[in-house]
Amino acid sequence: MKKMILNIMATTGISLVALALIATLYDGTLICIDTVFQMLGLNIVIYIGLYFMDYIEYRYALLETGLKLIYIILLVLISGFVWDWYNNLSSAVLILMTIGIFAVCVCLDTISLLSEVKTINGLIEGEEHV
Amino acid sequence: MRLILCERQNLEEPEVTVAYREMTKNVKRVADYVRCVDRTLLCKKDNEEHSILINDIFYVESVDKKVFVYCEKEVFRNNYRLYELEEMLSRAGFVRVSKSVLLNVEKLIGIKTLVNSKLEAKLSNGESVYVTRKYLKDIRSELIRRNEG
Repeated sequence: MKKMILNIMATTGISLVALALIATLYDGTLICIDTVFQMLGLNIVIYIGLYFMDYIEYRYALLETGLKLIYIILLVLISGFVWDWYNNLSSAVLILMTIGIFAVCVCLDTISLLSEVKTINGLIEGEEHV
Repeated sequence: MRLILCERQNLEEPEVTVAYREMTKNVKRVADYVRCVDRTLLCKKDNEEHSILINDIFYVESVDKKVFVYCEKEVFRNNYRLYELEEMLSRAGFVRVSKSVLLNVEKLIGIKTLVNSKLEAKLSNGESVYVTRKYLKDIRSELIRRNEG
């Protein structure tokens, strides 16, 4: 649970930075408070879905990554309809933004995984020395 | 924790007495380990029954609702379901590492990430099993528990 909350907060932060970058390209100067809460709400829903998707063991890692990305893109597009994001952004830009944020999250996740594996191998070696 | 070894010729089998003032988690751990040392699991191979020492088991795998017990070089069948064995063997240092595999953490010599983002646990007999990421924390907890003892 703690890890999920941290992930949600981190992804919300990354999403807002990405949104700010895109908005700068469109000469934007403000992000509405609504947008911050919409991002947070969307990320909560995304991570709840990913939590249940993790119960499935996929044969191929690419298949797992692909399905998760499709799921996230669908949620983002649906959110765009619900919260009228298409007034300011096209769906193509939204999809590209989603892919970019997903790529950053996958990189961070991989770094976290490598760190976890290193810790476990350290514990195994520690046990051998005893 | 002090260790006192005492040889007594009149004993039929080794006897372990644990003297403690308070039942701490380390005392409990020693007791659990001693209980498991010569615990056996009844398995079958080629229609013959074998009594396998739990400490000799490397991992247990469930395939098509059949449970296979893997020792260093031999494989046996067992009639228990995987979740039943998980309950029975959890105190003996066995941890679920994927939907269908229970691993004896004592036999684990390392974990590595593969190119396709999967995780592989290397065992002391040279074999390896796939590990699902969500079970890494259970492996870590078991290793921490063992190292603290």
